[in-house]
Amino acid sequence: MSLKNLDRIFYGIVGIAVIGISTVIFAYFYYYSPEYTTVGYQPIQNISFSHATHVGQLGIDCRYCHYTVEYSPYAGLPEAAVCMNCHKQVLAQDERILPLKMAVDKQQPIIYVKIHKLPDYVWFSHAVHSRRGIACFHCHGDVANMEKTYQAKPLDMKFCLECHKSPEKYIVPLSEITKTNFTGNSENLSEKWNVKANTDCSSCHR
Amino acid sequence: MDKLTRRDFLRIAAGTLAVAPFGFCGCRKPEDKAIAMSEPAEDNIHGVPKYFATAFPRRHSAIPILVKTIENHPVKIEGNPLIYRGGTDRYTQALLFELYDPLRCGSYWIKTTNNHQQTDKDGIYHFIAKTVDEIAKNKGKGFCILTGASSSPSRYKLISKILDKLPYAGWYEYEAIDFDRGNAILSHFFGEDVVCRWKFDLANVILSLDCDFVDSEEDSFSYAYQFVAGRNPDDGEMNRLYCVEGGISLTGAVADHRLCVPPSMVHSIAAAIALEILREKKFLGEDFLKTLQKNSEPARKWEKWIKQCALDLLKSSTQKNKKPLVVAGYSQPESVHALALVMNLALGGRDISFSVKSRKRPVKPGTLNQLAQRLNNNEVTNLVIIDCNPVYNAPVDLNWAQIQKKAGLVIHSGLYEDETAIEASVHIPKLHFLECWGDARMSDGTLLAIQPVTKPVFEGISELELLTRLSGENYRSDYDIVRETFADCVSADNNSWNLFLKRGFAEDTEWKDVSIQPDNQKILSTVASWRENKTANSYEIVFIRSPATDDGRYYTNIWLQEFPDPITRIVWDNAALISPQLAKTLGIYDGKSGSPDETRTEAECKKIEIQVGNRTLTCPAFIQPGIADNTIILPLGYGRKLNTIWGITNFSIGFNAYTLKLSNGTGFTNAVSVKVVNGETYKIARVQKHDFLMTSDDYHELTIREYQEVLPNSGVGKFIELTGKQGAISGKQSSGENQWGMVIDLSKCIGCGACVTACRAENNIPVVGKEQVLRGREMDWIRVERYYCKNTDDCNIRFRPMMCMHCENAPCEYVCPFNATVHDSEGLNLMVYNRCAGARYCMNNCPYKVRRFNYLDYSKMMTNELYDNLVKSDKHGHELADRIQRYDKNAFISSLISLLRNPEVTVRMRGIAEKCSYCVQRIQEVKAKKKIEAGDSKPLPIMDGEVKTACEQACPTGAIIFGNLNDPNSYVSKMVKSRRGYIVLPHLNTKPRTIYLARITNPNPEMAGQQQSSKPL
Repeated sequence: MSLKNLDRIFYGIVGIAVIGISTVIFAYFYYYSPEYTTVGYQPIQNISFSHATHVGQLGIDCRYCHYTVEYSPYAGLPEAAVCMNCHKQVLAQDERILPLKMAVDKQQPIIYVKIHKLPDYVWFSHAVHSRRGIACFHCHGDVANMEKTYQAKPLDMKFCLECHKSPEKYIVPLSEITKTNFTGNSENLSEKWNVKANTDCSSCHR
Repeated sequence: MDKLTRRDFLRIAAGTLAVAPFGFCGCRKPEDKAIAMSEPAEDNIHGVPKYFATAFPRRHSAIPILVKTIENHPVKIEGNPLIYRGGTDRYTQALLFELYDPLRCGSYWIKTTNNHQQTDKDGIYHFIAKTVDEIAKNKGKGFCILTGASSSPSRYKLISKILDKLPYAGWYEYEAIDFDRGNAILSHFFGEDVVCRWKFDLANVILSLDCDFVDSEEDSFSYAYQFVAGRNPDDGEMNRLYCVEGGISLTGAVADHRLCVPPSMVHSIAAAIALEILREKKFLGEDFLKTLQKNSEPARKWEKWIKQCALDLLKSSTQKNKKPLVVAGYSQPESVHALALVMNLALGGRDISFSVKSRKRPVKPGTLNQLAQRLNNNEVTNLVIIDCNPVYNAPVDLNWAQIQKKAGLVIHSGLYEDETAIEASVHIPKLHFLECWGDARMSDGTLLAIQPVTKPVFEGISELELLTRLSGENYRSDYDIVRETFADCVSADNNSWNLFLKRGFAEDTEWKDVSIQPDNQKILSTVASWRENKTANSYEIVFIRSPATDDGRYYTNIWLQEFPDPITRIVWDNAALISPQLAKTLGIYDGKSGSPDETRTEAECKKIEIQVGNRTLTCPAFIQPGIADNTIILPLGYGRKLNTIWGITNFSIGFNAYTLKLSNGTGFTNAVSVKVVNGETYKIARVQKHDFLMTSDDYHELTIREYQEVLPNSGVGKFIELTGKQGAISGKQSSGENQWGMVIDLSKCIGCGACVTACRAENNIPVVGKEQVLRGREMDWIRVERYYCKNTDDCNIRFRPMMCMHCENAPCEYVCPFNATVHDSEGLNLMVYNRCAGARYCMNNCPYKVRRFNYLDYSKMMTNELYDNLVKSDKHGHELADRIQRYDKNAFISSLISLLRNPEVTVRMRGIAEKCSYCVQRIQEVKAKKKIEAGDSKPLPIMDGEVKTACEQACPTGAIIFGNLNDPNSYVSKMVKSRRGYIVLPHLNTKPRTIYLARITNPNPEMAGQQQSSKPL
């Protein structure tokens, strides 16, 4: 029994609608995922700081400015006084240094735009990760070559689980965590240090 | 234009709709700010908590505390673990709210004849300096200072300076509920300024004469600790507590033998017991015995009880290292304290179970009655009131509100603009103790440090600064004053000062024991002057301190308002407690159920009108088993009125029982009549509606004899042997290195509720308000259930704390449609808030009913709405409308509450279920700390006691024990194997990780079945 014309049209429209809606839903979940919405986020900052110059060219260690990364859950942003340690003399009259100088003189904070933002229901501690051998670039990307800082990794739960499920692949010796080019053997470290990267919900969600 | 056709309209609509999505493009991700300071703060690492040792000043003592601060503001208050295991009480845990209380926000104002002028700090300094100049001219004639009680040596120093400079000035001290009364009476007998320090851990038999020492005396947290320490059933020797009381209290609940009598009868019973003891010990002469004989006549009814109790006391007085102890409560008359003293001396407990220490205060205050007399004689021109609220809580026969007006100038300083401030001429907001330097002494004399943990949240001047300025001296800083006092008391050395601040107390600063003897004549005359309460058929009214608001000072503390009364389980209200018999007599109870309405959380209470003298009070009547007939208990501390940013508000919570309190010195009085107010009922919110355990399987209690003799041979039935089989804690099911478990020792739980408030403070538990509690939506993760045990003649009150059991076979986990509740490898039952969508199937399935649900957005919305609902503006009073306009109330409250919250715990939104998490944030913090310390090596295992849950830490007696079951040496591993251990609802095979240890009591074997108290239920 063949379908009448009207029926054909009706079922045709239904079929197209189903395919259409599925495409929309697929596109939403694919493109609205953190890989697409947060990777590459590069807001304009008040201070035109270039990591490429300071880290790539000059080789300043991450921990010089982000000095609480090994004690505190927050890596923190360097206070203006830290910048002025060098910039009191280096390029002291440059117009890019002026906002820093004014911040220190007037005791005003500097307001940056936060680039790496985790949701409120996630608890992340920088101290645990940096003290247990996770390199900075692993989550923050190739900072040494970033003229303007952007978010390089999606930092969603899938990304965290990649490492938490098999930490032995990513642990580096503590002296190497700020280097981007460590290629040595990290196989035994997680066993030696008894690294237990928990995949329980309680490790990040309280 | 032509009429718009349907087709055109649709065309335009479709076109707009097609274009609309383009409007959403260009929506940028909202920017989040990260603020970098200009200079690093010294000592402050962003995100790392700092702990300060300070002390919480109470009346004549202080509780040593550790305050956890993050980013320089306090987020949690804990006890100082170096003193009495760091236990606290519920007021200490709820204290943090007081710091951020939006209703505390006050301003400096000066009232002149025609207007009310707001001023600033400098204006007040100027005013004070001017006033002090005038006062100094007359050498202080007409200048009086009225303060609340305080143990601070710095304050004593400053006040004695003022009194030295101004010889005609007077200093008076008043507390509505005066715990120091016993010491004052004792000082009268000894002729010197002394304190009596009880040592319950060295007492083998204790007789409490209406003394609620585990909950309502000075430093009761230390007494609870000592008492329970002497009561360990596994030690072989347990102490025994006899309690004679007029009201109903936690001490009565924990007692082995409780005699419930009208409060005026306590003296006769004490006299009868004293007669037996003194006769046997041949202590004091025949005159005294004759007086006692006369005084003990009314107690004939309880002859048998008295005889056995006296025999027990006498027998126990022969023991060498422990002695019996008799304690008298603050609300009893002087004669009872005298009897307690002679009994203690006769039984030989001096320097063992109690000691008399010399306090030697530099200057002693006068009483409120003396000040009232001076005011009546128009002798007072300048009155400074600091931290005292006599307009609200002075005895009503003094008519304080009227006589205060006779003073020329009244300067008031306090945390709130309370009733006294409203009547005063000048108001100076006082800084909270967490914001300023100070010192204090515990009740045994140990010097404690008070240091600020944050900058002042609201405007104010500290008490020490105000007193310095009143003395006319140059004010430098509170720090200097306290440092000087420390140098006087201990040493001027920098190292000892730093150690003092680090530990919170100074070693070897207790007051010294003295061996002076009391004046027996004075004791005899006090006891002989007692008169029997001869008004038969009258009712006795007992005033008790509210378990929530204390004497009224915590009225605005919504954490404490939502704290359920340990015995009545009422929140957000007070009610007159009457016995079932009295309720039957009044005709408001049909005798069928023990409490007003067993089926609902709202109790519809009838209202009664109580008449004392010629004053009446209408209040709701709540039926409470375990009270003597014809006794009515009225909790104080409600029905207040404050001046706040909303104007004068009364919040209409509860009724003000102070309107009946006379100045007879005791905590009870006679009522002329009690009538039912027909037609009126009042809804009271309770959090527990069932009062009796349905089965006897969930609460186990044994006497010490049964425990020692019977139990090793039974092993079947009640107590489950923990071998890993049915309902046991195995600890090997999960793969994590630590396996967390908890033991709750019901022998130690006194029902104080410190755990409840600690959990609320630690976990950001929202306050929901009376209306929501009436719907059964209270949010406390841990509750202390209270049951009346029907087994004996006495009304036995038993407590059982209950929180999430973290069952290994959790019925809540497999029914969650979103997998929001899962088990982790260390044995915790986790609640993942971001996955929860509010199906509430888990709440349904939980047999222990420990899960709570955010039916509304309590965390954000409800606090603002809560205040709006509570506030009812009062028309009379000051015009402070400009202050109402000045504040955007919601933003103001929200910003304060966000400071109050613990940043380490998620704040839950509407639609999310929550429950006790075994303080997973604390576990994770310690685990992280171990890893951070280890770095590139193996992390050290977590030691026993490093992770303490909030409830465990707050408990004054150590009833809650938490730890790692995988560690064979941990305290919890040992207690889990106890013979007393049992599981609640074992037949459901939930395999909980929290087990309970049965309560062991120590009744007198001669007294089986002789308890006479209220009628059986």
